[in-house]
Amino acid sequence: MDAREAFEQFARDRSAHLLRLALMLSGWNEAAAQDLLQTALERAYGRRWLLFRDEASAEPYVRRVLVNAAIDWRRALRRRQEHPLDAANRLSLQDATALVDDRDLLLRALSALPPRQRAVLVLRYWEGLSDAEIAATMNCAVGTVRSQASRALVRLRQQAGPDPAGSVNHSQMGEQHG
Amino acid sequence: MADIESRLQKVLDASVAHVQPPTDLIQAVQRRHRLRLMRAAIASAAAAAAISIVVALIGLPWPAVGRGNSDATHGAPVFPGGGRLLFADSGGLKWLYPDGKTVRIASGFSQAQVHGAELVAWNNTGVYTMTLDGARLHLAVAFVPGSASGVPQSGALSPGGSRIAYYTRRTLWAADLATGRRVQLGRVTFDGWRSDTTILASASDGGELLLVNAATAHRSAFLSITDPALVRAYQHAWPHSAPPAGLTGGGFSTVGPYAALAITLAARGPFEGTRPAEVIMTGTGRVFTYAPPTPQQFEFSWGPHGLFRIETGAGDNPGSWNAYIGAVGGNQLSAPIAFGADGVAFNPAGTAVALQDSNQVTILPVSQPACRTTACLHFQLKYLVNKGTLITWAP
Repeated sequence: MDAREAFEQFARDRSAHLLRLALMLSGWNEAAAQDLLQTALERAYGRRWLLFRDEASAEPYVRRVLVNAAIDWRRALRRRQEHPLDAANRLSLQDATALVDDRDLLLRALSALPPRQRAVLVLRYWEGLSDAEIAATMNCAVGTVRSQASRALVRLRQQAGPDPAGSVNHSQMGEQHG
Repeated sequence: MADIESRLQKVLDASVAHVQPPTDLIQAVQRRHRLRLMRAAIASAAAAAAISIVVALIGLPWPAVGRGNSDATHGAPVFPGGGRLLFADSGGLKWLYPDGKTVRIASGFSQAQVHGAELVAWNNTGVYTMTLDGARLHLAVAFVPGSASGVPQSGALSPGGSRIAYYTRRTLWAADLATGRRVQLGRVTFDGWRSDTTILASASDGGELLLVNAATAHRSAFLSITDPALVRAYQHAWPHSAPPAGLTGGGFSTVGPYAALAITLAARGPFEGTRPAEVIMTGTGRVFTYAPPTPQQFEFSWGPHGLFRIETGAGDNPGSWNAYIGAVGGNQLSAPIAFGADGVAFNPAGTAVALQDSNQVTILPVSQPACRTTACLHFQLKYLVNKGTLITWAP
């Protein structure tokens, strides 16, 4: 299998997962997620002779490009003072009484997080990465990952409220990973 | 796990559960890649045009003029440095000559290596030998797709041309071209041939280099990450750093006066290593260490006459990827060269280097001190676009 075939195999196998990751990183903005995924895969394609010699090296690279591109995209929007029609904004346009349940509250709170804090939570709780892996992905210290996660969880608790099932346990805030 | 964390996991899973990528994603990515290359080529051409205008306006001679190396505007070669370039594209292997002539020699191959007057090429059916013009095709080793010793993903010919080392998935094999016999060498990282029967390999834990007998698969320890000479060399490049945590072999340069072993050392990193340094140990016992800046990625390759190239990159910005050229025994690397992310080939004289970035090959002179002949070349950068994948630069 040459590098091009290895890339295409990787894209076929992993693009659904990576698109889901991009969607969360972008704050559930579908157009942005598609663009971020293409950006990340295009960079991997440009480096296919290096990345696809070793099966283990491509996905961390693409994930890293995705995370950093998503953060840059959000920053650029802020500089231009644009407001994407993402999950948080869509929710506010709809019938609040029908949609304000646990999932929507949490999604809205997640969308409102700064992009780095959202990325830390997504990588930790959806990708299942250790804090050390997240630090490497985001090019920051492990301590920074933990402080970002802790702050993000505090904000989520404040904005999303208690668990509807009632099993509230604030004592484990800032649980250590990795 | 706290309540908010378990709620978070469920919400995240549910929020993307039904998302699927578009069916034309790969085509869209490849289209975007072609567009980026076109923009890069246009920018390069614009920059070259701007430089030529400035040079003309201020009345300076072109750098190539007066050094006896042909780069004249009339009948100029499409690339300087002599010899011929071997490319692979969708039509197979082809030679590109300095006068622009292209000669197709073998279809169905994308990987090959020149050995003297012979070309060794391989694909999913086997390893073949042929003359440099593609004649006298001979199947040396047959592959059966799906078999344990099946299709090679990458290969490297031994110095004497009698064996080829190749991977099937992540398992290393060696095949004897005379007998067709294959030997499974296991899950080690191929770092280069030491001789026709001995391979330099890295252990999978990155802790030591091994010598592997290509005929018997016998392994012996060669060099450990804890070797005091390596630790000293690494900490010379990275003062106050902890000892290196991983090593891979860069292979042997077997050219007489430039005989040397290259080793890449790094602190442990989650995927590409951190603070890497290249240590070159010469046959005379001297040790040289190179640690170019911003190296999150690091790739080493040997050229002729003890020349080598180190490719580095930082972050996700393609503009930050750099190549450095050096030579055994030299204390300095070249200035960073913003080309070469995807491949390199030196000309046989060691005076020019071709650096590949996707569909573009950039050819530039090997400058002093790496160039050690009295016939170092001086010329403007030359670009070759859409020629295919550069395989080698042959006489």
